[in-house]
Amino acid sequence: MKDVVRIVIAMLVWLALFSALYGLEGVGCAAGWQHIQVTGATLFQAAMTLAFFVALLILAAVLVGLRSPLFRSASPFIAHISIILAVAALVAGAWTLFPALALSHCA
Amino acid sequence: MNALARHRALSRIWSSQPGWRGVISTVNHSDIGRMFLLVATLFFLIGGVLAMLIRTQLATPHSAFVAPAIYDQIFTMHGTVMMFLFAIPLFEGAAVYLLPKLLGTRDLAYPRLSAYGFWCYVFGGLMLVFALLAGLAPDSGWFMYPPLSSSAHSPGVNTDFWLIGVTFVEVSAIAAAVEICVSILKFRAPGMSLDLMPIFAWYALVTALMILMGFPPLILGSILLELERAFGFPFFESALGGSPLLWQHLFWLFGHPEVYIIFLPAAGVISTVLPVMARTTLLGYRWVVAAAVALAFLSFGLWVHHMFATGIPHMGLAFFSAASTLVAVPTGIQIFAWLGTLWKGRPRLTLPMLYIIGFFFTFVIGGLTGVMVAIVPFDWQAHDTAFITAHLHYVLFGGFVFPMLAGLYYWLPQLTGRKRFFRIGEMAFWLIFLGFNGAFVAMHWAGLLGQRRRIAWYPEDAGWTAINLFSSISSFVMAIGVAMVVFDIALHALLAIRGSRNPWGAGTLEWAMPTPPAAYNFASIPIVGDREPLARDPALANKIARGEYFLGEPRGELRETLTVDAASGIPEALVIFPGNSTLPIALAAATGAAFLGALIRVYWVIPLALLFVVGLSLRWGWSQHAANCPGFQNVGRATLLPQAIETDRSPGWWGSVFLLVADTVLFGSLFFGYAFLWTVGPNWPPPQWLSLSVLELALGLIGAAAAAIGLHVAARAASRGASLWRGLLIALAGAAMTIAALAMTLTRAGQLTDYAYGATVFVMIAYALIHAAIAAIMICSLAYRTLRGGASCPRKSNVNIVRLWTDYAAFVAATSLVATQFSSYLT
Repeated sequence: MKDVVRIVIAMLVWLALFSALYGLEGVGCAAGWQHIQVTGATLFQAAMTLAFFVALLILAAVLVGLRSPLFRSASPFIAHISIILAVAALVAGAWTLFPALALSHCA
Repeated sequence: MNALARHRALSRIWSSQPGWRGVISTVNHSDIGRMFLLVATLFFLIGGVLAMLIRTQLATPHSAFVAPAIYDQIFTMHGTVMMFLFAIPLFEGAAVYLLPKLLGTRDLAYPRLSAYGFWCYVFGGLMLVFALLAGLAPDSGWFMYPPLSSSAHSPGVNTDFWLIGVTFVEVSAIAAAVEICVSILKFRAPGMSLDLMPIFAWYALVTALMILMGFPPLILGSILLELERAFGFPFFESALGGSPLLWQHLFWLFGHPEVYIIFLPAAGVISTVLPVMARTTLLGYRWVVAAAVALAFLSFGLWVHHMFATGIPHMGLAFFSAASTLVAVPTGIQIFAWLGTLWKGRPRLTLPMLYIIGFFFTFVIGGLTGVMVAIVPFDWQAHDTAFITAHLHYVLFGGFVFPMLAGLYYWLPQLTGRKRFFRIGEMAFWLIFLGFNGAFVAMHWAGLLGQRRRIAWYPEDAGWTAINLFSSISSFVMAIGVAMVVFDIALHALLAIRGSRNPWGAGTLEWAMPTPPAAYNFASIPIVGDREPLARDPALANKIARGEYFLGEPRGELRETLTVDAASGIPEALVIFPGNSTLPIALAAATGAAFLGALIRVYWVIPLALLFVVGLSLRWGWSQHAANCPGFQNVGRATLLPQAIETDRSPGWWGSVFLLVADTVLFGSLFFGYAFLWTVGPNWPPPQWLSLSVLELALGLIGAAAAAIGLHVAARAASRGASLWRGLLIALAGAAMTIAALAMTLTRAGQLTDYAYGATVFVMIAYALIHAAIAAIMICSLAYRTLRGGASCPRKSNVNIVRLWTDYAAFVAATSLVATQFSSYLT
């Protein structure tokens, strides 16, 4: 079971973060964060930017974790696949969540 | 015992009854798989006839072939039949039939569950077929979008047939998915570690997990829409705090992964068949597995790309546009792995290979138009036009039907034991290939010229007449091709001569048995040390027949197989399967009666039917109960193993884990709906919130904690061999407190028809209450077993199963109570 978790964990975390950022956008827009100024930017921009980098940090941590001896699978096959998928999740995070930096408004 | 005597003994033990009794009582995976495949094919033909009716209507402008009201039923049923009654069940049938043979075992994890799923599928499908024949078929499109599908705009029973019939069929899909997950992870040949699994098993595992995660949102959506239609709970009514967009979210949370649920098994067939046809091994096995997993997860991040035209903020559009383009990468990895496999091998142009070439051509076009519609500005132009219809057919027909036809011709000798003789299949391929491309290339064109999808007629001066006529003629050419395939298969099954055991020279285990396969699959369960064990040891089939491996000596009338460690494939336990039984069809009929009661709105039938469901389920579980502890058994090759029900994690525990995955997704979707209406829904906040009741909250939380702790105590006692009673009594008291708290909250949910908030609170609490009741019934059942069985050995595994369900019920109850009781403080 642990090896199955190792295989799915990175993409599952990506999916959770992707949904969380989409949800955060909905909450932020509904709460009017785009109208609240915080040191030169809107609260909405600040929250989305922060969330983007936190998401990448979490995905990077998953990658590091799956490579570490503590969590790495004893099976070379599982270890290889889980690391491929952790890299894929990190790239997917950067690509799919990038609009959080580029399009920070509720239009 | 010689090979023939072994064959006779095992055949007697594993065979189904003769005649019609065998049909209703068989639990053998080969029988159930064949029945699934046959019924799914019949539905494919029904869906195909409906497609021809659509093309006849559209062949000429101002067509008077059918009236718009009937036309609406035809296109709705075409989509519904193809998606729910053909594609998914065909995968289930293929998986049910093939997996034990590929994995080197004798049956799937839960033979009776296979039969139950099959009968749910048949009964649910019959509901929809009846609706079609009676002129009461659903007519709101297979997306069933409200408000079109709400009772105000679709007042008849047509939509109810869809909501209830499809949900019933989805019970079958969930059952099959649980079965497939546990079978792949636990029921493999000894030595078959995860890296040695046949590639089709990886695809089936990923697909089954996707079904468990993808279907619950639609099941929830269907329940909510039916509650709205039947009782006026306004979940999707904007004026009363609901939102029609909530349906779209729930539908596409299912609908987009559904595309990949259909494509991935077909990709598994390609990954299996193509290397054999190229006389080599699959290039990049690890990368293909990783690509399939990545594709599965990415597909869950795409659902909003079906909603680009609904006015979602730009950032949301950009998230889903980016994810939609990204999905092309893992798909591309698989395509290049297949091309590389062809490059390194020595391909031969057989009939399965022809269909694979057809797949490459059509699927790549479908994938590329998919990237086009992933780009928001293009999607806005093409949305709801015939271009989209053409795109999805290129993906689904190209990505599913062509590979499945390749698989059909590849495994046909295994299925029938006959050698292909008639050459009708080649001609059929060209008719299907040319007809399909003619029909749908033209449809792309019509769409780009502005033809809307689902229109019953169009004016002469629209400029689409010649295109539509060409598309319709081509579609009839394709239909003739499909009819020829059916004719070819029938001739093959009835008249072709006996063939050799492994005509393609394949290396996987399904060819290491006599064909057509015996009911028990393997006379002894082989030891596997290679991805292609038959290629490594061509004498393997004979060794298996001689009983040289595990369980080669039949014992009494027991249907025996092994479970293994999920990762390493080391043998873990002996499993004794139940024999033939009519319990599955009876349980499916009782389940169907509950659905039927909801459909015809005779609501007293539902609790009555559910009583039967509970009673039959308890009987089902009880029949697995063994009062004696046989201890370690000799399974051959000087190996002693315990019985699976004596272990901590029996197959029942594994099945519960995967079923709870689906249940958790359903609860998560419900929570998503609650949060969605809260943040995005129009006309929110509600006029009145549920007030906080400290008594209900305290009673519920303490009860939930007590139930979970009680089962924890009982589990510890079971592992020490001590009495379970203290833990069970604490758990039972906790469950009763939780039920009381939830019932009190339910009565205060408010005016359910006045506002979406009250209706949502009601559903959330009712969901928790149902789970608390399930936990209570399971605890009572465990207590009764303890009373009857004394110190029987299976109780350890039973306690662990009940503990899982009780923990989940406690979690759901606590979360629901907190989320609803504090709602007035969260504004």
